[in-house]
Amino acid sequence: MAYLNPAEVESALENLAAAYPGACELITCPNPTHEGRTTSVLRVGTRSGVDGVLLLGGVHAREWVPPDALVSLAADLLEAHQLGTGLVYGGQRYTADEVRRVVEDTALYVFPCVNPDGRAHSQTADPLWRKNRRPHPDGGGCVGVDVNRNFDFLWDHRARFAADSGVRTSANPCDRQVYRGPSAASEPETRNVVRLLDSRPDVRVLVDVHSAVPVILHAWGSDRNQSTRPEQTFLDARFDGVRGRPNDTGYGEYITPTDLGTVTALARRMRDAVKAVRGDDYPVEQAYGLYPTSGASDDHAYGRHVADPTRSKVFGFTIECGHTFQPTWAEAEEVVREVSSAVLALALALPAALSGTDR
Amino acid sequence: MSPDEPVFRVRVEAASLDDLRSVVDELDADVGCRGVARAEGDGFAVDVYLPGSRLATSRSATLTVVENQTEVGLARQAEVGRGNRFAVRGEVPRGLGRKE
Repeated sequence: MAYLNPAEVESALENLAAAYPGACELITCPNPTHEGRTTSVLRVGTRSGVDGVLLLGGVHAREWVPPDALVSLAADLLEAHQLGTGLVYGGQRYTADEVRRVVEDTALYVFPCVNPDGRAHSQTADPLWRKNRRPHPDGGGCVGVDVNRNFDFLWDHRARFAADSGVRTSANPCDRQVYRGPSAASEPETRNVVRLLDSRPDVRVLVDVHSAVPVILHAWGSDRNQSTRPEQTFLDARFDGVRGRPNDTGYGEYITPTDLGTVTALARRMRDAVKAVRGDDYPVEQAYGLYPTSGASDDHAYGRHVADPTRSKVFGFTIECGHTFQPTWAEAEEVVREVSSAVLALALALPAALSGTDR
Repeated sequence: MSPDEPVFRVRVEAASLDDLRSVVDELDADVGCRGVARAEGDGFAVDVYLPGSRLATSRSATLTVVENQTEVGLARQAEVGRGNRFAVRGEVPRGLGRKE
């Protein structure tokens, strides 16, 4: 076996949709990439009206394992559901009834390769390429936007964060890693994700699978969490001068105790499911760690209902899987199993976890 | 076209998170996805990515080169699928989980 290239990812989804028409649906994303590629999402699930999980992979081009992990997971679920078997990942076993519950009682929106242009470039030219392949605005040599700094969440970091926050994003188109783009959601890859969130209100959880650390991150990424000052949110411009600053008490991103309990519990279920595969430990942490982040998919997803209460609440997670961007394929297979196990555990825990939360 | 200058994965270890942040800032390092520090021994560590010309020493942190990440990545390109293994509609992918 070998890593999937972008064309193979798309063909794999098409073939799964054709092979299992009763259990999945192929959704074509509306925005072609800068290099003209069309991407797809596979909705795995037999029923409508159930809670959904949006799974993203390949947002960062150089992180090669996540797209393979999500294709493998979709293929596993569809085959096992049809055969009426369980699924085993190393030391973690899911019964046939658990597979049935995931496929019939939830909907997994599998979007394995959000940034195929970047993946193609990383896999054939510059292996450490991270961004998409947006051409330089003036035709110069500086190419690409970091898709995971382009979402509409505190995107304008120079206005919304303290000058000494160290927020890891950049307004410089020549920044090799974290150029945020010319405007929020300027990139077709970003808009494809947002379109899914807009058009599928059944999505209640977003899991953006990245690599590597490993770690499982939950809200928020902008500042330390706090649950006592509800006025301190990313919406409030009064805190723009202090947001993101380390070791201060001037601002913390508000999260309700209930939501903090929910995201922590779900993340721990994923951690336990990973550990059972072969003993690797993916610690659970808040996404605000060494530095704050702006424009990330997980915070955008979770912040949507705060910005607009008519929207569904979507809990956002980032899994940083494995220990390196491009492990040998033999090692990548182990990481694929870990990610698969984590997502199945999450899906199985979802009904109980969401029953105590508002939508 | 491959990158002009090799990039190394470097482990930065420091006694405190503030020291770690200070060194990473000084190096202007690529911290990967999100810059996640982890507890290591009595201190903290983070892996960063630095071109060879910016490999440096620090008085407040220990820097250890883990690997030449560019070299590793170029080697891994040989492990990427060629053509399209699923070009034929009947070629249905199978996952890595055991069905039992």
